Amino acid sequence: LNEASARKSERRVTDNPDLPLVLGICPLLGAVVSLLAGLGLGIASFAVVVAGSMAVAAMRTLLPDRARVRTALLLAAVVTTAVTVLFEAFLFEAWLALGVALPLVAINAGIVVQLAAVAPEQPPGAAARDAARLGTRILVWLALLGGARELLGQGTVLAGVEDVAGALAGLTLHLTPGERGFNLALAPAGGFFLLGLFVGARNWRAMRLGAAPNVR
Amino acid sequence: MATDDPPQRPDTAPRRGRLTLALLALAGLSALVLGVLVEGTRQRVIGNEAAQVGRTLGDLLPEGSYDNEPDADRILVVSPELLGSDQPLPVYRARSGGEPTAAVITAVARQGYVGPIRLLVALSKDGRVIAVRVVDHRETPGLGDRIDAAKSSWTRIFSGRSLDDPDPSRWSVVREGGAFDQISGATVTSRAVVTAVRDAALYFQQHRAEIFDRPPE
Repeated sequence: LNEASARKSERRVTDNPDLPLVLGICPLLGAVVSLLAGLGLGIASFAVVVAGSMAVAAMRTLLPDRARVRTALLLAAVVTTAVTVLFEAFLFEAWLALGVALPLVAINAGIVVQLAAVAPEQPPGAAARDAARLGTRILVWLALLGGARELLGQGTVLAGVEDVAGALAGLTLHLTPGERGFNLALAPAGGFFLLGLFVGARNWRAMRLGAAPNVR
Repeated sequence: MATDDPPQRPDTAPRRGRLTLALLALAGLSALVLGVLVEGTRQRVIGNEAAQVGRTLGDLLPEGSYDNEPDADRILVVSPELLGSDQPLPVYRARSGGEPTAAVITAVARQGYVGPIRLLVALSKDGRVIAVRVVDHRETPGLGDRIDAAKSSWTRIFSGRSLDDPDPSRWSVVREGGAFDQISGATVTSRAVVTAVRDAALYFQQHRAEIFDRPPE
């Protein structure tokens, strides 16, 4: 790559603040079929990006600059594995439901970019604050997508909450009787359709406010 | 990534050495941290899994039909033809006053739509199916996943059936001339489960004495 085209492709990413976020959510779409699944994977993603960013920031003076991407990938994998193990030990019901999908948090593009490019520039406190902001956005997106798919696909909101915390039983909303819903919403392809609709809605709003679209 | 990276310089041996060393140290440290974490939580995870098995067995077996602890009264059996796996699979025994009342066989349906489906099949000592529970699967959400007791009551169609009712040759789905309703839109999944339950019943019929007489492991 020559200098000019490198800058151009870099701008294509940096001018699209939501692009790594949206790309990062994609591997998880297969599993985010309910509000609870979205919350579970969102909390796991939040923990991974915050803990990983703090570790990267703490080691920033020890590691050569050229090790950044490799460090980010390694730490994303390590912290994700640690979170998976903790889920298996302390949130067993959630692990039963999400176990297959949890390792995929490690390849979340938004998290890897944060660990490779943002966190190494900051002291641990600032890195944690920045990471928490990204983690919250991932959590909200996953919860919205999961909630929407659960509502369309099986007509409930927060189904299965009693397995995670018995005290919360009864919070589940059943909106449609019977067991049949809009199956496409639950299939992986339906997840991509909904994600596309969400992005479209955000861009439409941004353009009405006179701003550039968030994701192009 | 970052715009202020220094322009690429050719690799020199000392720089490469430092990079390798740093990454090696980091990888070693990571392995150590994960090792400690896995070791530290192992007992808890084993407890979680045992509790899960105990809960499922409690759901499958009628209350009062046994007075032992079936999750502890367990043997491991291997039968690639009838149980669908070349790995040892657990069989749990239920007894009342020392007399066998039922067995819960772990079976794997290999011909699922997406992948293998892991089942627990509870059989009374006369070979009648008490209940069937899917414990692990990756079938399509909204269609094949209705084999899951949490999603639909479909697996109840096996309760009370045996190899005399219907005859083994009719242990297939209605669409193929069998006696069991398939889940609409998920014939492949349904067929895989029906076949696996039949084979588990066959395994039980052929190994009944061994299943109840072997000491637990």
